[in-house]
Amino acid sequence: MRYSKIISWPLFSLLIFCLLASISWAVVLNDSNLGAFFSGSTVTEVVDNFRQIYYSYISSQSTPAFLSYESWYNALFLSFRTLLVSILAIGLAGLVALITFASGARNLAMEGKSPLKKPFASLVFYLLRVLYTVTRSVPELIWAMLIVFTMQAGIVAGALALAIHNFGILGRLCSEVVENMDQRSIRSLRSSGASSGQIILYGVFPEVLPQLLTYILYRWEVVIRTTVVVGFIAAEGLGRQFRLSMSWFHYDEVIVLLTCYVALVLIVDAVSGCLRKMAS
Amino acid sequence: MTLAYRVNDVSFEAEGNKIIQHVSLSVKTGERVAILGASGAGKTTLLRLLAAQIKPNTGEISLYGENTSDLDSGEKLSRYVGVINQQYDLIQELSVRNNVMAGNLGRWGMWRSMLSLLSTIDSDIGTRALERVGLSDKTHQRLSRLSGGEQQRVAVARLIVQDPLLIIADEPVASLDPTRAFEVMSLLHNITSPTDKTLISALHSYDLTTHFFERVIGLRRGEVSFDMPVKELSKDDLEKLYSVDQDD
Amino acid sequence: MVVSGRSRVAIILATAFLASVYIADWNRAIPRSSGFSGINEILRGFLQPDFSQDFLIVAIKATWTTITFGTSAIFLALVIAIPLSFVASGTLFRSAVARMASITLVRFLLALIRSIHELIWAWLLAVLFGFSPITGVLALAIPYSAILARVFSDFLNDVPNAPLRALRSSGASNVQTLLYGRIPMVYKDMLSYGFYRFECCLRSAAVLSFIGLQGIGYQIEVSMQDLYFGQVWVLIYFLIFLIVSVDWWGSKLRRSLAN
Repeated sequence: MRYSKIISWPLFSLLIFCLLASISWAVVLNDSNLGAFFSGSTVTEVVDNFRQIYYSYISSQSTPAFLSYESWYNALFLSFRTLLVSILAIGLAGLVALITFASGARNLAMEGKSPLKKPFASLVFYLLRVLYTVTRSVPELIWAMLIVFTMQAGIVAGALALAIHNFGILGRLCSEVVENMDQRSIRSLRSSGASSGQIILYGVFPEVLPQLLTYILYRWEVVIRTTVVVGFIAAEGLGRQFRLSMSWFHYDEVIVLLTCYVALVLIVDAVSGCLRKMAS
Repeated sequence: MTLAYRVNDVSFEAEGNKIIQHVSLSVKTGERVAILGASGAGKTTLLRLLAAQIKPNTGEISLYGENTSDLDSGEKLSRYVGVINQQYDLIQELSVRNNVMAGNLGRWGMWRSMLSLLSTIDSDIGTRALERVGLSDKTHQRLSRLSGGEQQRVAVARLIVQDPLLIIADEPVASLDPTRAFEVMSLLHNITSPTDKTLISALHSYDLTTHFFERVIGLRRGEVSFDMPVKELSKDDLEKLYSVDQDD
Repeated sequence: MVVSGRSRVAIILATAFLASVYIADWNRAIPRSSGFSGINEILRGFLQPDFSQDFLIVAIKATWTTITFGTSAIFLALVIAIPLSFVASGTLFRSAVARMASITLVRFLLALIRSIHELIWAWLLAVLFGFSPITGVLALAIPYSAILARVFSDFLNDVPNAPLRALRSSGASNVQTLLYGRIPMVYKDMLSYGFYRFECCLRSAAVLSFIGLQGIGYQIEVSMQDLYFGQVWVLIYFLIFLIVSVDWWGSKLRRSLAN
């Protein structure tokens, strides 16, 4: 029986999704103390919170952090370190993805176009696919936790956690580009006498590299946001200081850090957009 | 005169369809053969069989004495056969120069191939090939910037660099306007005729056929309908070739 | 020799990367003193995952919690983002001035909102509203709605003009052009991207549970603190399964839309 004739897959998905969403909302609302949330008490609580924060923590300081030159300078230094981690991370991810994607593409590995010998090529293909899937499904923070368990916290630890996750994303994307490529140009190169390796060099790379470049720039925007958060755990840059300041209730410092964070993200967005335009 | 091709009772079928049925013919070195036929008659398949890109189900094709079913390596084959198609032969993202130099890939090893991509030192063969097709001024441009006619000329330049013994062309000018089509066919003629290279081309233009070729083979429903010198070709033969009748 | 814009960008990126490699403090990249035993523990856990019934129940519950968080959040985000994207794309306004104003103002606001990572939103909201599931859901929904609104508004704007002109010449108002013209052209892309963000949202929900709300991340932290890496790996497997399933669902959806 053709179920697809009764109800189309997109509609079916939509229904399932709405069902899931309703159940989820029911659970969430059930578990939260909504009565207090929506009554006036919470709003006054929040205002009180604000007032308390302001009076006890901010105005009591002789020089609140956002007025002190030193704390801004410090925050800028930390922002620079955070930027460093993000560049290192995305660079590593891109590099390793570049090296591996050709073996991770189904049409190359399975149809004998890989430079590797036949049984190896399929094995490497499956291995790479699994690797891409695992690394991109597990969020960066969890990788960070595992890494910090084994390695000293710092720039490299944070960059590694981000790189691992983004490697999976970039690797899979490149493999997909290769799989969706027009096969005719590749076939034509073969008639000029090219070996598999030469085909990859002359036919695949020129097609994939520009896409990889654009996507690296897109991912960089995402990575810079996550770098700060990874810094909580990998004890580096703005993230680490954020955690410290929060735990000491130095909300004035938090304001400084937040401003630098937002500025950093906006700058990276602008630079990335600019570079992407240059590359097109 | 040596025999370039001897095709012996070759059949090919795919997905249950008999595309080529019991075709036998031979081609001598230096012949210029046009293949005509309606779409679906099997021209592309026949050319691919000749280019050893696919293997016949029955019968055999021998290319300068070697069975095409045994010719697997790209290198060796590329010295015998060069192919040019209607489109999509070239790498859009590479420069004109790199596309042309790719004709050397059968001779080069990996390192040389890589070096050629990075360095911009013009090699003689490539420069001369581009001069012959009249595109020297576009040497360093990305291929995607060129028009369809110019891209076909780059494909011809690549063939010049590859320098195979024979050229197989599958509707090389079908998407070009008449002037450009004439230019490209002249180029193909000029690189094969003086050097006694064989040229086998599928076409759908009667004018180009009579102008550039000496022998014409008509293909109809996978079988050879006629095989005669171009001078003897009449419009009647063509009508019968392209007609759509219900029987047989 | 003319260097193409693309090569220039590649060179810039390569230089930046090499600089970062140089500046990074690699001497801290060594395993800690307890590091080797740490690697040992992780490997041991990998080879002996904890599939005991008790723990499986814990894992399933945690996964379900993460699912509820993520789904609620993305649903809310979509509900907010779709109308927001109409405003952000400026397609509702006729006069150029109003359009410019709505575009720049709203987009700037969106950029600010989405520049803050959901964990930081969570922390901020928790400070103000305390810990509760609804705070977590809001912490996810706010940045995600900004991201979705921005991308959807780009989709709406990048639509070819010719069909819209035809609609307007047959008398359609702005809203009608939107409904009959733009949306039918972009709804597939919107669905596709929305699903991709659904997957991301689930991942974020798993991570969000670090700050004390229930979920996979919380359980991972708990198990890690007790060094039960067998449990950690099982939770990771559940997370991978969840993400892969949603990804598969999304691909199927995309393929059926393409036909």
